[in-house]
This record gives sequence, structure tokens and C-alpha cells, in this order.
Amino acid sequence: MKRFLIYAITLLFWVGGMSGIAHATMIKDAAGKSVPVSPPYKRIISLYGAHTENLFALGLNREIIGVSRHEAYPPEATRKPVFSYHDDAERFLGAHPDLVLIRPMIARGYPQLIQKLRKAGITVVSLQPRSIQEMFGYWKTLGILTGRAEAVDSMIHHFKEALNIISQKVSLIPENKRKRVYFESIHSRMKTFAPSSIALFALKSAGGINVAADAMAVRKTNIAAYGKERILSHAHDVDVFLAQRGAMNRISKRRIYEEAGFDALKAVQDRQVYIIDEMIVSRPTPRLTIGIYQIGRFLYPDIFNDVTALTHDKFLSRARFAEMFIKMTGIPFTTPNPRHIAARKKKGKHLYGDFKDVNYRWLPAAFIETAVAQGVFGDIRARRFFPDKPVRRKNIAYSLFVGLDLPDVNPFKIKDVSTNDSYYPYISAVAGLGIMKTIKGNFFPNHIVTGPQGFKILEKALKLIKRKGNQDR
Amino acid sequence: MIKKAGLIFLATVIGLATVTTGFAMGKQENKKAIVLANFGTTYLSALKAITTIQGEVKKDFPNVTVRVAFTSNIIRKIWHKRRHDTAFLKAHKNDMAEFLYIKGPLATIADLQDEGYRTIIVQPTHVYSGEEFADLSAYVHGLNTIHTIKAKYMPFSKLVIGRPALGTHGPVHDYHKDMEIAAKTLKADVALAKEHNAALVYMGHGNEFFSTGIYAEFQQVMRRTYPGVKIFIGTVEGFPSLDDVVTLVKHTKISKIVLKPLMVVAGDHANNDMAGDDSDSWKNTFKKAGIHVTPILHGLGENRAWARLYVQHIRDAAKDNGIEF
Repeated sequence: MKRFLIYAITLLFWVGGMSGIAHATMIKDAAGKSVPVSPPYKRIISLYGAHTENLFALGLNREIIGVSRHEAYPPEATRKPVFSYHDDAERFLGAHPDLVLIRPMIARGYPQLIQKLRKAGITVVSLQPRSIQEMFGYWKTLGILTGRAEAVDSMIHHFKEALNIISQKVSLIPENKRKRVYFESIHSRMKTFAPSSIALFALKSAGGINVAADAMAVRKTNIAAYGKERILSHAHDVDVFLAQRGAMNRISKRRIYEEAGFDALKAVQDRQVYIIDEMIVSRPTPRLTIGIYQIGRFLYPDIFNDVTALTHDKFLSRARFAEMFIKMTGIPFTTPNPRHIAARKKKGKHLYGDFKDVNYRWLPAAFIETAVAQGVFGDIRARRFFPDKPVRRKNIAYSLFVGLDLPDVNPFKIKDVSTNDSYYPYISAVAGLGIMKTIKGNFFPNHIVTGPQGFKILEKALKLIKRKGNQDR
Repeated sequence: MIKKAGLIFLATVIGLATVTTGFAMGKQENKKAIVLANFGTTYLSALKAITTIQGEVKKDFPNVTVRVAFTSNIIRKIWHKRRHDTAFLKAHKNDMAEFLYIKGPLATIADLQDEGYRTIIVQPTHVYSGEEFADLSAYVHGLNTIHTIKAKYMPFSKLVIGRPALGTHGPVHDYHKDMEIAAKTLKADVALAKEHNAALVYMGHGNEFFSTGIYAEFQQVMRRTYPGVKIFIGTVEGFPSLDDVVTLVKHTKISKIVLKPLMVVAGDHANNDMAGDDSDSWKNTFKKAGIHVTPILHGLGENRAWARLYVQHIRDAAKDNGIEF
């Protein structure tokens, strides 16, 4: 792999040095075959969601002319024309792509399509890193193909920075307190992940110990066969049962809890079963760091959901309140819906990734989007979140009423809010439960909230519903 | 080992017995059976709705063979996989045997016919006459179009279908009556809402291919039956939609609701669409409108009175077709 990198980079310099003249650069594809390419490509069709996501991360919105069917992120990807390996080659040719990005599964299954495309002069490259070591090389290859080498460097830099932040948190956990985890890839066949897979890198980075380290990869893929009996042989060692959910594994916690024999698992007895979106743990994209952080939140909530830093704020901004709310409630990160589900949403409604004023590079965006999906904010319009604006007392009342399942309470009269005010029911309930104070019947709905105040309010509300961050939802 | 030998012996005897009565030869048997056709569920905790209905039917027809069929292909496959799951068999071998070999309605009917059951009542556990019921009726109709050359070799003496809980079209059984009777079985839900000083909101399934006006009509029947409590019915697919119901509930200035599925089984719809934590679940949509929500995760099938609606519909189907049990 390293050799390939040097090879590719040398070629890149070489191409750069002879600018103006088109030269055949060589890259190695997923099968290890050298493929001559002539970058940068300007009309790209991507048939794998991870490729699409990475190309968008490199700022190639204009260059992407076609995507696969189940794109989820970013939202622009869900608005691009759809192509499939089931389509006739003519359909591809009609769109005049100069590069079609595929993955080995497609190369194996549809050789005729690929042959036809290549015959028509289209470059077809099959890529899919199987380990984290291969991932950076894969990103660099994408950079070479699209002429975005610098953007790739910055992407790698940010990724490593995020890993650093996470590893600092993990280092706070003593070795003997590390959680032992079974990470499920396909429930119906009781499969886990191959030891070198990206998913297990994610688990390890979050400080988890894989109990199925003896699993063998299936046909050089990320997946490894395991079997129920072997899972049960670790019954007392599995502190946490983690399952990826996606097209390959349509799983629910309920199914895992009800799986026959699983009642012997320590994780099931302790209600430590968690589900995570496949797209943030199995895919070689920058969002993998969000998946890793989420695993950290499942395994070590005290550390990954720690809000000490937020309690010093002079006032809580909407972004900071979103983070505080999601951390303290322990609500897992929301992830964007694939195209066919997003399409069911009404037009004009917010889509994950749509806020122009939110930086989607790292965690704050994950907290904001999760809070929005939970209905914590009552005033979301398309495209704008206003992350730096302060939250007001009425906003907090709303967030508690909608975001938590508060107990029932008799109507409580508020003097300074009209009963016709749309915030009245939330304020009346939250004040009636004593979660937020009133002074002589006044609520002061428009007052801003400090970090310590926000913390105290949330703490009270959570105590009332007896749900803390580390509890199973 | 002895047990096994015994089983083989038994199987041989039964086999021989079957051969003698055999396939379209000689005089056919005419045993009677009931097929309970459900959509199905894989969750053991949700199975209670189905087993409750099954129990009621068995209780009323102790001498009739009652078989359960699942119409969902995916759900059947999951059950079939469990046959090879040693852990599952160890935990549930005796009580779940029936579901491990669960079949679709077509196969269930064919099996019964093969075993000499020529009078069969297919009773769906559907709520109303929608897509699922139309499909099941098409199966039954299709089988009834088989006409053998000799009348004595006709596969079925009588193969008939019972109507859903809220009835179906036609003059024989007035669906208005069915709705009135069904409304009476929901007394406990209304009492619960009353206790909470709340309105009662049901989430029905509905569909996009038939008019779902029956939900609006049933809402009216419920309101007439229980004038003391405000009652609303909406559907996941079709009319009245969640938005329709929220608008109406808001309009009446209600601040609390009890939310319950109007579905036989409390499965994924009830757990996710209705009571899920997503911002567009029914629960959270009502909360956003400032309404306090108490979700109840029990399917209609768990309610014995509701289960007995199907018993009555089996009786009706029998009577209408001159079948005596």
C-alpha cells in the first residue's frame, strides 16, 4: 500500500511538472491492477455512496453528474441524477461521463457493463479500502483523479485531528475498565466484522475491545462469519452488544433483546444493546469520526457526554444548547436518511446537512442535527439554524416538552405569557412541573439562559423522568 | 430412540391411512377447518395479539382444526430460519412449533385439502376491508374457480372467507352494524382516556389504494358510542392523515391525548411511527403542537373482546354457507 502511495504521488508530481500536456497517470485499483488515468476528471458518475460522499467533501459538486440510488449525504447528493449498474451502458454513455467510479462488488458482478464503458473511452475505476490504512491511500487516489490533492491533505488532517480528540478521551479510561464489545454486521447470519475492517477500527478508536477477534473475513471483505454459538460462548464477556443498521442489516434493538439464547449475554441482561448507522461506522468517509464518537458515547457516556465545558458559558447559544441537550439525554446521533426515505418528506422541510450556517466538518453539526431531528427546536426553517444566537427560556421550555417524555401535569397559570401564545402550553407544563421557576407567576420567556442555568434545568428535567445519558433508550 | 421409532411407526400408519383415502380417488373425506390469516410478526412479545385471537377461536370451536397463516413473506422466512436455530429451539420448541413451520394462506389451505379438509373457513384478522383483505379474497376466489370434470373430485366442498373486524361491502352483513359492535369492544381504551382526562387518538394503518373513509366513519361511530370522551382516528397511509388529526385535535383545544394503535398487532408501526422518538413520529408531532401524549403499545388483538369479533365472523361465514360445526 505504501509503495502504491509513493508511486501515485511521484506520478502526480510528474504530471504536475509537465503541465499542459495530457499524460497517462497510473493508479492502482481495488483489485491491485494498474489503471492508466488522465486526470483531472470533470464529469464523474459515482456508483457507491462512500465515493459520492468523499467527492462532495472535496468540493466536487459541479463535477459529479450522477450518483447511486441510495445516497444519503450530503443533501446535494440526493438531488443528482441516479445511475445504477443495472442500467444499460447506453444510459451512461448518454450522460457523457469521463470517469465512472465503482467498487469491487460491481466489477465482479457486471463485467460487461464495465467493458462497454471502457470501450467507449470512459475511465472506470474500482475502489474500496478494506482497512483504515488503505483509506487514506484511497482518499489520495480520489484526489489524484479529480485534481484535488490539497483538499485531500486537509481532509486527512481534519480526520486525524478528530481521532486525536477522541483518543485523548479514551486515554482517560483505565485499561481494566475498557468495555468488551460484540459488533454485529449481519444479524440474520450472525456475522461480525473482519479484524482489519474499518468498523473494528472505529470500535478500537472509541476504546472498545472486540470480543470476536478470532473471526475470519469472508472473501476478503469487511464481513466475518461468527455464528450464534460462538457469540454465546462469550456470553459473560460481552459488556456491550453493538449492531450496525443499514441496507445489509435491518435490525432493531427489540429483535436483539428477543433473540433466543441472547438472554444469556451480559449485554442483554444489562440492557447494553446499541444500534448504529452503518454509514458512519463501515464507510471510508470523513463522517467515520462521528461514528467513532458515537460508539464512545455508548461505551463511556460519562466521558463522551461530559458537559463541563458547556457549563461555563455566559449564555447558551443554540449550538451549545443542542450539544448540552443531546449529551445530557444521551440521545444517539441522528444520521441522514437515504434518498428514498428523504423523498417522502414534504418539500421545503429541513434535510440533514442543509443548514448553510452550520459547519458540517465535525461534531457540533452532529449535535445540532440530532437536536433538530428530535424536535428540540420549534422554529426550524429550511437552510438556516442560527447557531450563535442565544436560546431563550421559552425555547428551553419547548425543547423539554417535545424532546423529553415529561409526566402529565395540571395547567399552571403564567402571568407574563398569553394563553394564545404558541409557547404557552410548553411553558405552562414545564413551570407546572417545577422544572423551570417562575417568580410571582412570571416566567420571563424571552430571557437568555446561562450555561449553569441550562445545566440545572436539564438536570432537573432528567431527574424527573428518571432518565440519564447512559440509560438505554 | 424408542420415541423416534414410535414416531416413525405412527407416521407410517398415518401415511397408509392417507394413501387409502388418497388423491382424488375413491370417496373423499370432508373434515372442517379454520384458517386464521394474519399479516404476521416476528416479535414474541407481539405474538400475544395473534395467540389471543387463536385462543378465542379454539375455545369456541374445540373440535375444529384451527391453523394460523402469515401473509407476509419476509416474516415467514424469519420464522423458518429459526428452525435451525438451536438456541431458539431450546427455549421455545414446544410453544412455538406452530410458528416455526408457519405458511402463507395458500399453502395452508392446500395442506388442509391434502389432509382431507374440504370445508375451510378462512378468517382474516384484518381491521377493515382494504388491500390485504382484497388480496386474500382473490386467493379464495381463485381456488373456488377450480372445476373438476367429475363433481366428486372437486378439491373443496366449501372454501369461504370471513369478513374483517369492521365488516365489508355488500347487503348480507351491514358493515354499520359491524362497526357498532366493534366500537363496543373498545370500552377499556375510552375508560383509560377518561382516567387521564385526555382525548383518545387511534392510529390506523390505512392504505393508498382504497378509500380509507371507513376510519372517518368509525370515528363517528366511536363518538356516538362514547359521547363523554373526545375520540379521533387517523391513518399512517391515507385519510385522515396525521396532519388532519393534529389540526382537529388542536382545534378542540385539547391538551392531553392517549395514543393507541388501531392495529391488531403492536409491531413496528406502533413502536416507530406512533411512539418513536423521531421528530415526525405521531407522539412528537402531537407534542410539538403542545399536547401531552400518553402512548399505549398494545395491539387490538390483545383485547379479548376484539378477538371475539373474529369468532363471530367465523360463525357468520359458517351460517351463511350452510357449514355446521
